[in-house]
Amino acid sequence: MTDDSITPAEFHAAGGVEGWHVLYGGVQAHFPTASFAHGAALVAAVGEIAAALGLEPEIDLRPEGVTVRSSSLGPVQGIGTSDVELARRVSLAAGTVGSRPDDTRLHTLGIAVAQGEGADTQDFWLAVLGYVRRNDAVIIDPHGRGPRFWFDEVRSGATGRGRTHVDVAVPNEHAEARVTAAVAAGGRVAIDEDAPHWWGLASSDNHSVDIAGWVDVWDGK
Amino acid sequence: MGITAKGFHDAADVEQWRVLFGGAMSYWRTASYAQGIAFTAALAVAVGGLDRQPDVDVRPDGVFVRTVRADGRLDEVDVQIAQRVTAAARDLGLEADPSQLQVIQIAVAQGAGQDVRPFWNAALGYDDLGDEDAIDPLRRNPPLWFHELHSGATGRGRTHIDLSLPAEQAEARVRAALAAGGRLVSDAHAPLWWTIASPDNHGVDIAGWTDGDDDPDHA
Repeated sequence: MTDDSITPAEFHAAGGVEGWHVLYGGVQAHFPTASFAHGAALVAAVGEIAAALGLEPEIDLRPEGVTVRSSSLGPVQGIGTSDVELARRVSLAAGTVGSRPDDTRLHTLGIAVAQGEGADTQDFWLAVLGYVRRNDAVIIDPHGRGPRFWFDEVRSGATGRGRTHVDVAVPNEHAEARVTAAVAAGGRVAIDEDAPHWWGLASSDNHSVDIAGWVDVWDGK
Repeated sequence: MGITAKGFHDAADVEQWRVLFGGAMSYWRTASYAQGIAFTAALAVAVGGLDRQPDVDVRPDGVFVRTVRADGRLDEVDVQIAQRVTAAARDLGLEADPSQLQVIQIAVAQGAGQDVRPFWNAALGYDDLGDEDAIDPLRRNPPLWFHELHSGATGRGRTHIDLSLPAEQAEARVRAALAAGGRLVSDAHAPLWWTIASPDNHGVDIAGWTDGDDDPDHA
């Protein structure tokens, strides 16, 4: 089976992937399970599906359930048509044991390090974190467990949100609710010109957090 | 009753485990992805009957296993889980590699008297853990630690990254970071932790202390 690169929008349009989302690191879904033994059985089923497709998805087994994440073309190229097939088959396998995907706790954090114009501190971060380079602007945990680090240029601080921020990639339809909850908890919306793609929030003492829904539905443009 | 990290290490057959932020953990190299799946099935059977289950991350090259009590402390059940998982790994001929263990934590500094944790929990979808921490309910994303803003004598800025490493790995990581352009801000607490800064003064602490911790207040 050929594996062609696809966008998040194409992934969702493929059908049979309800409850799956494209966040940092690939397509992913969380399946709650009734017990750890049920979760382990689902891991075994995912292993068989993965073997049949020639994929090696990341699987996080918790007492609460199983999370599966895949980017079939690897961390640099990203998601492909094989991921659609993996998602469909895993959802079917989970359904046979009564588990449906729950995306309310699905999110992926990234850390955005702002650096001065002309400064390049990536080598330091690669060394201190034991990370590997994904592309010019992003470094990642080789084991796919720690948050990705993204390097951008320090902006002039018009919003006063400080220098380094946390990015939260959430399922697209949950992004605005997350913003609302954060504002209700004392935050403020500092940037909304690109909403509903992403919002820039600040805590009451001006620490910054961006809520990103665009990752999940990006159409490549 | 809880135990310290040292108390955990005093138990038999847990030599391959390390106590970092978030609990006791181990990493087992596998010859194939399929072997990692098989190991997961075996360890799930091995911990059957205990009233706690571990977190397991299956990756192409190996499997990470972590155990901790709901309040973030360790006790005898974690020792039993570690021993049973280790036995299951040995049955499959797996070898541990503690050098692959690390936990990245985000340390959020807040002004005296401020409590910004509710905002962070709402924005990140996290839950409170104890008085000073917040965690991802599914323990897949980095933990947060809230502390009081220091006066900035070191010029490292306000929020820093805490890196929890096996004690025997910490100093080498510090050297690698300094060789890559970092700056040693303070080694007053070494080898418990080192305070370093990136070339443009972003703060990173490298912590080896958790793994040998013997403070009864942490049990």
